[in-house]
Amino acid sequence: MRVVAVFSPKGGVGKTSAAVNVAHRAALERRRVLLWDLDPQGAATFYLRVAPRLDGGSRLLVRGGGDITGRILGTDYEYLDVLPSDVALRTLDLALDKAKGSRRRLSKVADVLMGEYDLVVIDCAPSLGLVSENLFRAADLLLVPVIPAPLSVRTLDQLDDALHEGGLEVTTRYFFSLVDGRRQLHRELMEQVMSERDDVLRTVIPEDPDIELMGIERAPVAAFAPTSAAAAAYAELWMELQESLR
Amino acid sequence: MPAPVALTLPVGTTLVGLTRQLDEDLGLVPGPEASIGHTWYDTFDWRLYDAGLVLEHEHVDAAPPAPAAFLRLRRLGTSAPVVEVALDQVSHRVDALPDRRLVEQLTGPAGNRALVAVASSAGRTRVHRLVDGESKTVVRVIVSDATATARAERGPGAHLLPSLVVVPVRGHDAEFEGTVARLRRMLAADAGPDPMVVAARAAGLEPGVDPSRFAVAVPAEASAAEAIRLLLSRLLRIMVVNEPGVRADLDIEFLHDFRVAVRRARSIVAAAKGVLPEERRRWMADELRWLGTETTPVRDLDVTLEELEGDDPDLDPWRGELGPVLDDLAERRAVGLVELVAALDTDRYHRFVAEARRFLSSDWGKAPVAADVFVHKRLRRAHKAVLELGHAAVTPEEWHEVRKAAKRLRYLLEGFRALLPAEDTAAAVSSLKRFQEVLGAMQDSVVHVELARAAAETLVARGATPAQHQAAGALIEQSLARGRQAYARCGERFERFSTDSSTRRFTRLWTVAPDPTPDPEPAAAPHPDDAAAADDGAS
Repeated sequence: MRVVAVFSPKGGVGKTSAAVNVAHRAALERRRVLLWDLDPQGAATFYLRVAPRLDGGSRLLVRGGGDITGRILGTDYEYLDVLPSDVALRTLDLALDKAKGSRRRLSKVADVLMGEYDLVVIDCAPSLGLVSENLFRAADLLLVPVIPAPLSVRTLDQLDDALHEGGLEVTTRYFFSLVDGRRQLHRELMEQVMSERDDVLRTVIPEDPDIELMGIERAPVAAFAPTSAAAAAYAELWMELQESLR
Repeated sequence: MPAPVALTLPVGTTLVGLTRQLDEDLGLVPGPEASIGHTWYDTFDWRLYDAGLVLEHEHVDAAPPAPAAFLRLRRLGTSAPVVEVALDQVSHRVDALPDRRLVEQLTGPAGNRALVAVASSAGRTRVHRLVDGESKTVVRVIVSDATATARAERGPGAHLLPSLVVVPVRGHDAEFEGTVARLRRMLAADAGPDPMVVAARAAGLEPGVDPSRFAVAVPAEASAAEAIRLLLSRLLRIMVVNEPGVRADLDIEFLHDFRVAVRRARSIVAAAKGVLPEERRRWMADELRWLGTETTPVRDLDVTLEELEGDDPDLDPWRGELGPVLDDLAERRAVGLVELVAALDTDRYHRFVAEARRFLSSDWGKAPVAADVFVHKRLRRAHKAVLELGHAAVTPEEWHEVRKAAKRLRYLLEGFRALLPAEDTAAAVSSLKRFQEVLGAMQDSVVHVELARAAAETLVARGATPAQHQAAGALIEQSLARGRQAYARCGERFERFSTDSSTRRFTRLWTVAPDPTPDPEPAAAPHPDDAAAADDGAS
């Protein structure tokens, strides 16, 4: 089983879309996939037509153990299950803070899922704190979307620093999201970052109306627009991601 | 989570009617119709089926770049995969499959056999969904309608009944159980055989029945001629069904089974003196001897290579230097295979198969002699020959003659098993196998030494290193030592085979004979080929 945490300290960068579409894409290949929605906003849960309710909330995740598997739900897509979000997860940081071994609690939850799934994709809330530190320890790979804008690009260095300061060694892969290929600034920033770093994936996710339609269709892009540019981009992202997971 | 439930629908169910029922009566939401195809793989002798496994390659409609073909390993009678991977082409070799889990699961059951397509079907499928208040799927009902693809020689394919699989969705067990119960009531449907079994049967194959199996139900009232006709027809069939695997070199067992069928046929032809028309009998003997000769070089190399490439600890000190010897043997095998395939391409071979078929279905015009009388006499003589040769045997060459006589006895027992007392026959075959193990090991060592010497000569010509020479020498010495060990045990094994109790058991095989009838075999000197019917290559 591989665990991919889709993370960014910034919100609105295409994190949830990436998590849902990558998970769906892997499920199309008949990998057993769990999408774990840890963002209390519950957008990934919503996209998959599941009610955002996790009986037990934060305490369940902190306690860990087999109870968690009873909360997993199937989706419209064979091979793709979801561990739903809940608004109560907004207090997860506090709950973790009170627990013993607070930095490894979510790793223990992931351990329970071992054998049931080939891939766990975690949609994380946009913040740096105890929850994210837990995720950095639980994940085999951090997948970080970045908008090609000056402020957003700064998150690469911020995240590097946070991982370094915490002594955390987790494979990190960045990719550009919400890209408008017509804009010179986007093109130049991407070229510069890609030339300076070797942890940036070549796949670029475009700013695309089909991705926005996910909220209307309540489905991954490939389910309602299988031949769209956005579906192709997420397919490419998944292919490239597999190389990094090997 | 509960396992998916497959239901077989009553005769007369149509896909259109079923779809309407599901949607109107159960309130299911239909998905788009899609094409679907399955090809099922197993070894030629159904080893996966015997292990309770089904390996199926599924082709589906998929928008690129989504994969359109998957290889799934599942347990017989279930639909949940043990392992499933996206895969376009299925390799014949298990160890060449691209997924480690598949290789691990299949290596034990498949052994050294190749994967071959045993059945296939093509059709349409549609997923019907039961949904909740959020329009999210809570149960899937997959309906498929397919036609099994027949092999060319067996006529058109057979239409399979529509099948229905109810698939649970995690977290919705109650909805699943309710749907299964309603479908059972509504459609009077219940679990049926695995779709692979249905497709294989539609294609004229019976899963679990090894096409090389030499078990012929000779009727108790059969004449000797009828029995021999049945046995030779079966053996010819075994040769023919194994021939494509020999030509394609899928695995070494195709040639082994082909060759054993030839050898068994030779023994039966040799024993059929006085039953078959003599001119045709000699013709068959000559052609089968030729085929035996043509198959010997490759089979000898297969046995030798299998031993050298196995995990024999005695070879470990030399394994690093044996590469050139193995390469030379593999090259010889490749050349031998080309020659063998050329022999199978000759008019002589095609004529043999065609004429043998004609001969075996023609009227032989002989007075009927009961098959049991025939086989009792042959068994008594064959057993006597083994005992006489065994008591007199001293040299390896003499023990080799004992081996051939023992094989002739065993082939008679196996061929006419249906006419003999089951328990004594099984025990007799078993004691012969134990005896033949030692005799076979002695003969195999002779073959290994010959081939290793030939390879060593090639190494000299090619300028091998001293260490490689030493390894080849050690190999020859080891084979000689094994031959000596086997030779030393021949006498002791023969004593065990020829005890009074063993002899009494054999005697019982022919003392339950019905009223005596004239001997079908005239007292005549044996044809030189008859004595050699159990050929002398590797087993």
